[in-house]
Amino acid sequence: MNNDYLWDKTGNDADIERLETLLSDLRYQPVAPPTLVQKQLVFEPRRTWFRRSLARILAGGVAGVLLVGVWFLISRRDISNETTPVSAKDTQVGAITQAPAKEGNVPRSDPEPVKTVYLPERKAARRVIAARAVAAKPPRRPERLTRQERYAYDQLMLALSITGSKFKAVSDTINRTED
Amino acid sequence: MSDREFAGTTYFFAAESAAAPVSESPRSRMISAIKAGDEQAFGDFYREFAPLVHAILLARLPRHEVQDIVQEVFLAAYRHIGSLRDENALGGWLARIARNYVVDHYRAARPADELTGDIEGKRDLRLEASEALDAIRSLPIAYRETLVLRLVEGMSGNEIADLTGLSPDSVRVNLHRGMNLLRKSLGITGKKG
Repeated sequence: MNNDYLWDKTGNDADIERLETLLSDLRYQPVAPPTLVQKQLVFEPRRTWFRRSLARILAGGVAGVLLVGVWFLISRRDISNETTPVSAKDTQVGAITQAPAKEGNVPRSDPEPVKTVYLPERKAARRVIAARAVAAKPPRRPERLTRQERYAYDQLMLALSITGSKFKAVSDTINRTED
Repeated sequence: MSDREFAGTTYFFAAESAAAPVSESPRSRMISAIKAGDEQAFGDFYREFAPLVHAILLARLPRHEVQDIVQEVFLAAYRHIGSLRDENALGGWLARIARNYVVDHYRAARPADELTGDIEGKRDLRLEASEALDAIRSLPIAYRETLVLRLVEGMSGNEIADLTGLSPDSVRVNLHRGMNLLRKSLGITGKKG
């Protein structure tokens, strides 16, 4: 056996040469390449760019959602930390306060310290937010009507009172009839 | 591999030598030409790789069907050449198409035995060749293809490595192990000539 002959045909190896001779009949016989139909010249477009941009958009979307979620959680935690022990001021507005029972009607401006109740974090935070929202609302101004509006308002009230009295008369009539 | 991807892989080199254009290998030039629809380039491609495809098919299919399927494999390769990513892996890519064709062929084909030399009334030499081919076909697939390329197509180890994309060491191992198994199978003692 000669390994060189098997690798690059240098030297000789009778067995391999015999096999080569035997099998040479099966060797590829060169023929003309297949004719290409014009239709086959159209290559399938590669959509790599499309897949990549889609993946980028998806990744960006997921990252955005995560960022918003993290921001939301952090901001919530900040509010909770800020307001966990409900202060005396806050309890006057919204938190549950327990005034001394025996004193009865104690005015709010009573200097006696109010007992602070520690609520669960979230509840307290919600109350504080609600209280701030109420405090932030501007005071309601008294409405001033024009002359015409005032007249229309009086007429409306008059019409409503007449209608009311008519309804009452009808109602009385019906009741009497039933009796 | 599309031009864009190819440009991506060679960007580093192109940036370094912006003045000198990147030299394309003959094979990559051939592939670009095929992609552009050059029939001459396709003919060159066919002539270079037809023995490889022939050997892969011959290692698995009846002899009389091989020639037609070689042409089909090349037409399929032509249609899908846009999906070729690594131009250096052209041989491996083509071999994979050929192997897939064999699988499809067996899936679709009715069972049929190959006509042996005996039935065709040929000489004993032909029969012996068929027996030798049958012995090769009974070997593990890695040895089978390499031995057909070596013994039937008459290629050297380096040529096989170049066409298939396998490393020369792998080809050498496949050749030697396959040949040892073939010798045992055919009852050859391994005497030097």
